[in-house]
Amino acid sequence: MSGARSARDRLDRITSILARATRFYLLAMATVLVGGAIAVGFAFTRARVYKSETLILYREAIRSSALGEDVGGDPARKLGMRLREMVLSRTRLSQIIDEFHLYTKIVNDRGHVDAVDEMRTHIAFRVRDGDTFGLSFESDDPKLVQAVTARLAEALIAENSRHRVEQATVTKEFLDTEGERIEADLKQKETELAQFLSKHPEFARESSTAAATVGSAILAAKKAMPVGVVKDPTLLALERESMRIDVRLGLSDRRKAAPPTESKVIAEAEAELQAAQKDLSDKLAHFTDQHPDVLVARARMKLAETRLRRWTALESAEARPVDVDARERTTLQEALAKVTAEIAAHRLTKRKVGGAGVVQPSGNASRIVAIETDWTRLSREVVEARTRHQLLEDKLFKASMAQSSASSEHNAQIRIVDPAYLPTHPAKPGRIMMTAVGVIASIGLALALALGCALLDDRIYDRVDIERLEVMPLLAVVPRAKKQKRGLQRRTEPVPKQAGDV
Amino acid sequence: MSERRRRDRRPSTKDEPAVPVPTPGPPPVSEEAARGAADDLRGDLRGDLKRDPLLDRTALTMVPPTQKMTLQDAQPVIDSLERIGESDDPESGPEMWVERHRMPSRLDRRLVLLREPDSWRSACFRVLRHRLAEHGDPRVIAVTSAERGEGKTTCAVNLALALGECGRARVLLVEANLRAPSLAALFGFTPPACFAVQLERHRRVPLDPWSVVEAYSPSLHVLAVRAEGNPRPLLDGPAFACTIAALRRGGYEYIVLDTPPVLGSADVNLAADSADGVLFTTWARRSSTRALRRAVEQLAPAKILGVTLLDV
Repeated sequence: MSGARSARDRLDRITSILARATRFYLLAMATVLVGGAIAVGFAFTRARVYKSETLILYREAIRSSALGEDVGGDPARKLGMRLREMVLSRTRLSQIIDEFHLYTKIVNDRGHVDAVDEMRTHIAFRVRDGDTFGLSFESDDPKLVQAVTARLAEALIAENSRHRVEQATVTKEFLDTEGERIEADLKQKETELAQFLSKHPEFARESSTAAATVGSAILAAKKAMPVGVVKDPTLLALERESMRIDVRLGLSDRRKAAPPTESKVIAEAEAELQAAQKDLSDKLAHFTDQHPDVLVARARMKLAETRLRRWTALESAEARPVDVDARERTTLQEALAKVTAEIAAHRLTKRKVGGAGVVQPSGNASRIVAIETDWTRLSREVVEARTRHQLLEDKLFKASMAQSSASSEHNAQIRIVDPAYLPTHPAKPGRIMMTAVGVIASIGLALALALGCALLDDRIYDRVDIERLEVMPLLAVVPRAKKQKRGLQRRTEPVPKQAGDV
Repeated sequence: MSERRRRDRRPSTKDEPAVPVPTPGPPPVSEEAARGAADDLRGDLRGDLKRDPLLDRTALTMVPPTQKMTLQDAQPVIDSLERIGESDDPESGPEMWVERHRMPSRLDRRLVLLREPDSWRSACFRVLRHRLAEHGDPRVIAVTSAERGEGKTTCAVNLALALGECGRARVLLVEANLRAPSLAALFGFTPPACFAVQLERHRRVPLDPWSVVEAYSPSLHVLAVRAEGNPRPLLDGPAFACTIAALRRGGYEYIVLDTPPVLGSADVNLAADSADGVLFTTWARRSSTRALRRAVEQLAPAKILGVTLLDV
């Protein structure tokens, strides 16, 4: 009776439960009938819902590569989310509700907030493949559905356009402000550098190509030093000063030997300006002034002019004739001799002190180090300011293009591919489908009910139920009497012939 | 013993209380009136028809086959009286008056061993008889169930028939369900003396003879309760115990007690005290395991022989 149950026992148990479940067929049938009736009633009394849909396409009028990555297109998902938020914005939907007098009962009873929430449940915005989006609206009036859907699409286009123009305008205004500030900063730095150069003309050549030459010489001297030898910074400063004076003394010869780099850069800037002017004239011959290509060409020409102007100014400042006359040459030679003597004295002192000792720099050496530090700082600040200015100009150029692109009529990025249609049939699911679903759900519920009742039923059906009780032995199992025909079934029966033998 | 003496010693029915039938229907017919009416009818027919041996009270009181038999329809069908156990010694057993009941033309469906003696269902009751013999061979068996309508009477009657089958033993079937009797209707007779009344009378006159009905077979005697005029008495435990003890001495090898359901009364507990064991019956698809468990708990510590599952 007890003990481990075999697979056969478990199968018998399952079969027994299923057999018991069939005894609740009346309950199951009643559930199916009631559920089916409810489904039919719901399907045929529910108001028919019509749905209209419009297909919109997001298209870039100007390639995003031309406007810069951060100004142009959006990923599809991000764009879809942004457009969806635009469609479902409370202000926009509230206007549409007032315009079409939608959900008047909800508006009167609970206000616009609940009406907007209700309308959101009837709007579907689906992101399709690529840059295509579907916008649909559901209601019980086909014409109203079509009108509201079309209005939603128009509102979406207008909102997107306004958003882009506003964004481009704000960006350009911000970049303009930043450009003015950086330009002022750049002018100040260049002024400081010019003042420094007027005081210390020996650094003038290092500001452009000569600086690179001197720098190369200094780097070559550093490389020539044996590895592991730590040079005295004071000695190095004196040596650099000596080299600068040497450069000034031999300036005229070097200028003749090497062509100026500024002239080459200016030539390139002039070539770029000429190419930009040619491009602009070509574009103007084919397009109007407001065409994006024309705008791009014009911005390119403006940028080339700016570069040429800056390089020309720089070249004129650096190419001032250095008045290296005999008196100054004498002064330079004296200074060179002084620096050379100082270098020799410093080396001697260092040799006396020893390799590990520290030699205090002289006053002239300290002055040279301080001047070099100022020169380095000023040069770095000017370079950084120019770099920032250059980057900002690029961004400003792209922002200008984005603004003109957004404000022009050619910037219709969202276009309606498939206008909202007038629905002729109710939206799915139809009545038959709803009825079928309701009946299937009722059948499922009926089966679950029958099975649950069978599991909860504690009545005795067969010997297994008594054996599982384990309260008393089962002595006999008497089968059911054979069923008689309905008309012959009665309480008493004729006595059989064999009965007399008992 | 002369015929006059026999009539004098015959158990009296005048002591039975005259209680009206609680259910609406035809007025109660007394035994004497019913016998007189049967005799009158037979006398009337005698002049028209040839004497038919089957034309007795049984045929005259037989109910139509399509009509459900009730106790009002079941008239006395005794055609002979026999006295057994004439000794006045209480130790030798009580004096018994046996009134034979002829088999009617139609039998109740619950009389399985009579209606279909060769069937599988009859075999199951015979198997039950052997199983009981294996479980200590109890002589006084109380047949009960947890709730109403779970086959107590069916099992008790067929068990009694199986125990007395082929004259192997003398069996007495006692109706201990005083408040809802059904044996008389099942066998189709009105008992000459109600068992409840006899039980009450034997409290005062213990040596008074018992009146039983021989139902279909000389091996089976029935102590049934009359439904009409039954005040639905409670079972008198001590009197019942004395009665069972006396009946045991009356020559019956088996006594089967048809008891009320366990839940809802304590009569089974009293009957179980007089029995050697309790046999439960359950009706498939009707009995619940919870009720069965509660019934077993209520009867503890009575000896429970086992359970019979009916109508599977």
